Amino acid sequence: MKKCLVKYWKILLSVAVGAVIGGGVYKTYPAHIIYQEMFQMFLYDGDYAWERIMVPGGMACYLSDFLSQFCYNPKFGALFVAVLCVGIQRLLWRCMKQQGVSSFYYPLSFLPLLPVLHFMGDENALFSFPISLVMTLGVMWGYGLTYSLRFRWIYVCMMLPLLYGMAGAVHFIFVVWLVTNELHRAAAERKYAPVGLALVALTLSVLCPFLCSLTLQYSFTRLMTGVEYYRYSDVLLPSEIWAAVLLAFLPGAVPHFPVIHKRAWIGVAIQMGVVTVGGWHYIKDGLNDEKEEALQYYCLVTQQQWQKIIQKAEKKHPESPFSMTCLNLALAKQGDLGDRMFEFSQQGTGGLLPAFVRDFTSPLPTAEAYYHMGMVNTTQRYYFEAMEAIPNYQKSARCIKRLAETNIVNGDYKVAEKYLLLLQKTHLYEEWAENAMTYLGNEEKINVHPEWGKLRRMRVEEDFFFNGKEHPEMLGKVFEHNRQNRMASDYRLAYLLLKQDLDAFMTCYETGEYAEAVYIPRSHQEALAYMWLQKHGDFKDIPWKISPSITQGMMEFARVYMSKQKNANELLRRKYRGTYWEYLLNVRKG
Amino acid sequence: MKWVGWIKYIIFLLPIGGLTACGESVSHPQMVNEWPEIYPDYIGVTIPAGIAPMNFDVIGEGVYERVDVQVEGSNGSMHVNGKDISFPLGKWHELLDEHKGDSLVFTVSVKEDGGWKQYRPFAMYVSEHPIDYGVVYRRIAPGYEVYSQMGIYERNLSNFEEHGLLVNTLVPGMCVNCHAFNRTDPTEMSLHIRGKHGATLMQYDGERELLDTKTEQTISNCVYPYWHPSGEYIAYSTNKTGQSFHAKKEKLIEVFDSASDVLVYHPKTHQLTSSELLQGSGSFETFPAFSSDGKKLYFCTSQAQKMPEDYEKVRYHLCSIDFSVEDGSFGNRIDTLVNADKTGKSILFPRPSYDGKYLMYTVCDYGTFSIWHKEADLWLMDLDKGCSRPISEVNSEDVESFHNWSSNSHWFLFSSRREDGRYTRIYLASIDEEGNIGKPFLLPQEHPSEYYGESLYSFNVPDFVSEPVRLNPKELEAEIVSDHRKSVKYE
Repeated sequence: MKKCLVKYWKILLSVAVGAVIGGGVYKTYPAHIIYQEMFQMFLYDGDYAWERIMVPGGMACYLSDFLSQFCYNPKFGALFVAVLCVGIQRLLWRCMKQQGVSSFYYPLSFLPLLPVLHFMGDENALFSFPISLVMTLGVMWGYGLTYSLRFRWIYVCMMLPLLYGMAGAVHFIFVVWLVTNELHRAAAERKYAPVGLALVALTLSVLCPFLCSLTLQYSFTRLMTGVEYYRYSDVLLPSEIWAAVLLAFLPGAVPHFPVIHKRAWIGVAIQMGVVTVGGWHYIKDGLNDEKEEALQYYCLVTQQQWQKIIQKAEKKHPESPFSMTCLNLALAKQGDLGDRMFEFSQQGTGGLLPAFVRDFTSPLPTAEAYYHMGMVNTTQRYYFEAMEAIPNYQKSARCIKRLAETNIVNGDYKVAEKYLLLLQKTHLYEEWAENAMTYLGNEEKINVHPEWGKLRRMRVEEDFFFNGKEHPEMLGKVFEHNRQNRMASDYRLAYLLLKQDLDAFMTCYETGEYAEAVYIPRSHQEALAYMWLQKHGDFKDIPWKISPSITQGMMEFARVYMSKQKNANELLRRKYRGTYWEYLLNVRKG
Repeated sequence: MKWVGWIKYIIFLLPIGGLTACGESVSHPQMVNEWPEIYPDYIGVTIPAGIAPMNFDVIGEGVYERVDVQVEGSNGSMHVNGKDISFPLGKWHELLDEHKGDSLVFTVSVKEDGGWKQYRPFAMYVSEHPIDYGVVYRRIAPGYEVYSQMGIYERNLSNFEEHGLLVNTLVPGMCVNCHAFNRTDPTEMSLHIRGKHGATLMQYDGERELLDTKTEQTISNCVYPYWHPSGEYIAYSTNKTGQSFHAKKEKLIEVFDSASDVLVYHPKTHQLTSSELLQGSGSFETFPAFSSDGKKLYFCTSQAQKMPEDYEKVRYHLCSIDFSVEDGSFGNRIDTLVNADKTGKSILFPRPSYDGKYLMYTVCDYGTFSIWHKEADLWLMDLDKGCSRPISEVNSEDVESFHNWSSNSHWFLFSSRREDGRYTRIYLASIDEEGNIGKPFLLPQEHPSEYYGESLYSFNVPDFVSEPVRLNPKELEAEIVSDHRKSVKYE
């Protein structure tokens, strides 16, 4: 065992680190992993492959898309991150070893993983970056195997353009490493030929992007910095630069470090400890818990896990309007919006039906809310726009799926067919698309579909323009069209409550619009009691069935509020936590 | 990206060549007295000799093992046999060249369950009139407000080569639209760029400049360009455009103008000019187009309405005003060619043929943006006789919208949503000396079902070009990003 450990400690350490990375990503960042799947549409199709590969770094992008399609399961995503990290570290170590680095400095080969993991902590970081690094290190390692100058010339002339084509601008890592290597060699051998090779490599490394800029529709800057390592193509993160710098210089620099032979394991342990502790802080700095929370909410929305969303919010209230939109949707789907919405820290109408933003993420939960309310055209628009807003111009299979559904509901079968044909070429949606195909043109089958049939019944027939400033009116029309559409009604009243448009809220009840309602939800009762008391002073003739506990509470609330006690608001807030009255207090204070 | 196209082409030709060589012959076919159901529908179309192979797919047959097409003409023939129909490029052009003014007969046989079925042969007519080098269009997903990858693309009509002229991968966030050439000549070009680096790109007299066409006196930047035949002027409109989104399933988007004027730009002096008659405060003026002799300016005008509330009341008349090329002045009278009050329809996008015979325009029920109007159709006015007719030869149940003429005015192209009601495709049609219009054909593609079936793009604002457009992406990117813009003046 000891022998085995002594012999294989390096590989075992790499595997252990890989396991920690994989486990850590899976445990702390599952929604970020799933997020990767949401904004790609990998097609098992020659044209798609060709289109992706034919840009510098295209092969890395293609492989990145390939991996991303499996990220619907965070276990796979975590595994990919771990494997890529171990791949980077092991290849780097190979390169370092070629330079004569002692095993004593094995922990330093983990150093570049810190900026890589920091980078991957960003939800817009793509797998293409670590994949490109693996490719580059592979080429660096291959270069180290070519000893004769002639082979090195051939290798550089062939592999450098190829590397640029496959991995993109990370080819500069190889070039920097090669130049330092060749200059070192020139100095050692006192020959000029390696200098020539270094100059050619440098020239080639700039020539490749330059030539591409003459024919491709990409700017020279973008071709020099990488077409698609990050979802926003014009953004270059410091962590990317740090990773590149470490990979380019570590193999050449470490051989100059002093080697300690006595009790070397202590030195190894210290290095490992420093890398781990320092690294943890650096990596943690790249993580965003708030985003993870928001993405977890949205993931649950896509899985229609309404109860889990509510349970999650019960443990910790959502902090962002994005998460709140998901929670309110879950409450509405469970029929609890009117009863429970103010148990959570509501954030105004922006947490119910936020205004449309030209963004690829924020419209998605809102689109889901519209979908479940039967506002099919609006759902379609939100999904289409979100997909079009993906910054690296990719498509989203998840959005396409919803677009296929909205087109089926609207009877636009030809358009739906187009989307389904594409989905049939994907891994995750193939089976679903094949089944959906059987619905095209089959009115009866669609009408009895549990979701699409219901949406058809809820869909409005009388035309109006979507107006983001007049949600209650729109939702009123949707509810008018189908009085079974309780979600539209709940959303309308919730919107009025959040907007504090209590006159309009009262009108809904006073005009008898909700006369059929046998049950008045709690927050509605609270709002009605609040308004009634202001106008009438007591609840004697109140026409709605308001719970005595609410009328009593309202009376007490009014008494304390009017008493002008020093800490009245604080007292009320504490006593009436989770009520609409508390929301009013909070909002009006703000 | 031309080289990419070539490599792709070679790769695709290899298996095609192989299939052609190893094809199984049609033996003892069962005769079917019907035309085959093919996509695109090329049965009985009139095509130019210079067109790319009219590859098609047999549809409606379910799964078939092989397909065989025998093409017969009076001066030669061609045969393909394989899993797909893909005519070899060189042989195709040879055959078409030899049959100008004649027809080619296509006999399609399909192998199913080991046996062959042969359909009734159909013809394609090869016109004597040549077609221009290519087509330029805007390729964009038919969306709402946000756009992903989009750009102006050029397609060589004699083969399947398509390449981007200006794509928003070059300058992220950029939107390009309103491209126009002077009677298909790409050396005179106007193109509008929107976004952070917005500008109007003007290629003129061998020079290129980026203009800032918004002035204090005008509503917006200049859009909807149309060149004067002399190349001395370009007519534009300035529009305050908005859009709203419908709730019911039959409609999705309504695009409307709440103000618009027509202007003429003189590139040499960088001056915009107009007439009070083209800038009425109580009316919307838009879609200008010069007559083929340059002496008239056609445009569309509607009484101003409260927008978007009264969007259904907006109906554009087709009008013209005299224009003097000598001094760039306008006449003092507006002639109404088609009165929307009488027809009850809205007239849009007037496009006179370059030979001065016709004026083609779009007719829809109301409004200014016909691409979202299923009822939109193309109409043709005979300028000598002054009478108009719907072009029933090319119209469909769905949208027909933007259109343009070839340099010899014997071909026109138009955008249509007839296939699926959403994704705009380009169709081409012939018109002979007598005004007879041929059955239109969908712009050919190498693998049409796959290409059109899976493409998530619309092909908008198509126009012919007589030669390739010369734009260097690297230079162009530097110019666009520089933000150096030449301001135009309003006279």
